[in-house]
Amino acid sequence: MQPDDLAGYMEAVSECKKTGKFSCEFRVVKSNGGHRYLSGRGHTVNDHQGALTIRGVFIDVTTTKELESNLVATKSRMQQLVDGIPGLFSYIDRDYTVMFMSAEYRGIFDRTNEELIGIHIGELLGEEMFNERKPRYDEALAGGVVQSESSRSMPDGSTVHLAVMHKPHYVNGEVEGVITLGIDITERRRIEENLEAKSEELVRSNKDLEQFAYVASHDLKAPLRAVEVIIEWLHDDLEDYEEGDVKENLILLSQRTGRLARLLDDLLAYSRAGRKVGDVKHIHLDEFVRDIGVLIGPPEGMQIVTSEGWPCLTTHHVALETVLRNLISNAIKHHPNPTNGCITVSCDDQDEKVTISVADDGTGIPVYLE
Amino acid sequence: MITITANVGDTERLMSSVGVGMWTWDGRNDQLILDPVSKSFYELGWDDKAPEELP
Repeated sequence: MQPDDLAGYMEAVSECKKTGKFSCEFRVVKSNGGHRYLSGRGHTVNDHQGALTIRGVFIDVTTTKELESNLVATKSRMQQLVDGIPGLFSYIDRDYTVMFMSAEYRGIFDRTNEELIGIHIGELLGEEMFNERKPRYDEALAGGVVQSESSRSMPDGSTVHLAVMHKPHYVNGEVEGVITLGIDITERRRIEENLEAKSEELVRSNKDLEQFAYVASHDLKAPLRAVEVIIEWLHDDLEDYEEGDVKENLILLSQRTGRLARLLDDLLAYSRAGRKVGDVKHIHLDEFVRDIGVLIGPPEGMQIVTSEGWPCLTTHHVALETVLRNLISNAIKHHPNPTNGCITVSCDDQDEKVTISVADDGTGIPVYLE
Repeated sequence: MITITANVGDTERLMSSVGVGMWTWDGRNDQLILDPVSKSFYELGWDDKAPEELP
């Protein structure tokens, strides 16, 4: 016999003398050094002469013991694996009895594994929460997969938001229990709430910007209109004045103030970009492009060439003007010789679309940037 | 003095066929009687003595 088991064996013998029943499990050392597990059961029999007689049986339970040992090791490995999951994991059987629970889940109830296993899940959750969750458990026990989100108060007073899934556990085609997995989504929820708050802040900021742009353009437009009127008066008063470049300069001044007025309109349109489509206007495309060229006011020697007979369009004129003005302005700005250049604006009228091209005779775009 | 004696009957045959060993501790004669299955558990030969700690 394995020496470590001798004390327990002798205790069983003593017990048999008192109770008449012998029961003991012990190991026998085999000749190869291994162990054989024996389960001994017996009972005393009547002996009229007062001597102790016991009759019993031995059963070799080595295989059972090895299976039990493997089962314990497997359960231990599984427990360690599950304890490593950053979430709440549990398994209850058809009677809502807790059969398994991860360390993080146990932490919520502040109980040990031994205290949790084998008790009704309702004892842990409380009657109210159990009644709330019971339909989900029942749905999973009926074979369904149930997903939900819930909040839970933690022992430290914090609130944790969880994404919870209840899934049936099948054995031989029958649902034997419910696997529950809860993932902590508190951080995700916090990010979502922050995002929502920032989105609201952005909406408010955009409203402020629109309001500012509107007020600024409105307040600047009034004095600008006054300047335009004064220019008209000067133009009328100096109609017969032929000395110097006064008339030409007045025309230039008028064009610049007109451009400034357009820029104020664009400022308002920009503030609304992405949120409002803007006004639609019927335009003569060739006149529209020529006006842009005049408003830009190219340097002397720089030609902006267009043609006539372009189609009329009903379009978002502010956006179109902004695009064309930027293209033409850039062509002038980056031309190697702004006092001797040519920018050609052409139009290709197709059935369902109009293509407007802006080309210049500058150095062009470097190949590596195309 | 512990001695081993053979005890082979119908019940023992039935029990041994399912791997169950039978034993009797005779306190009056200090005899432990093991059937062949029980003896095989202890890797004892037919004439070997049983370990004294057995009942």
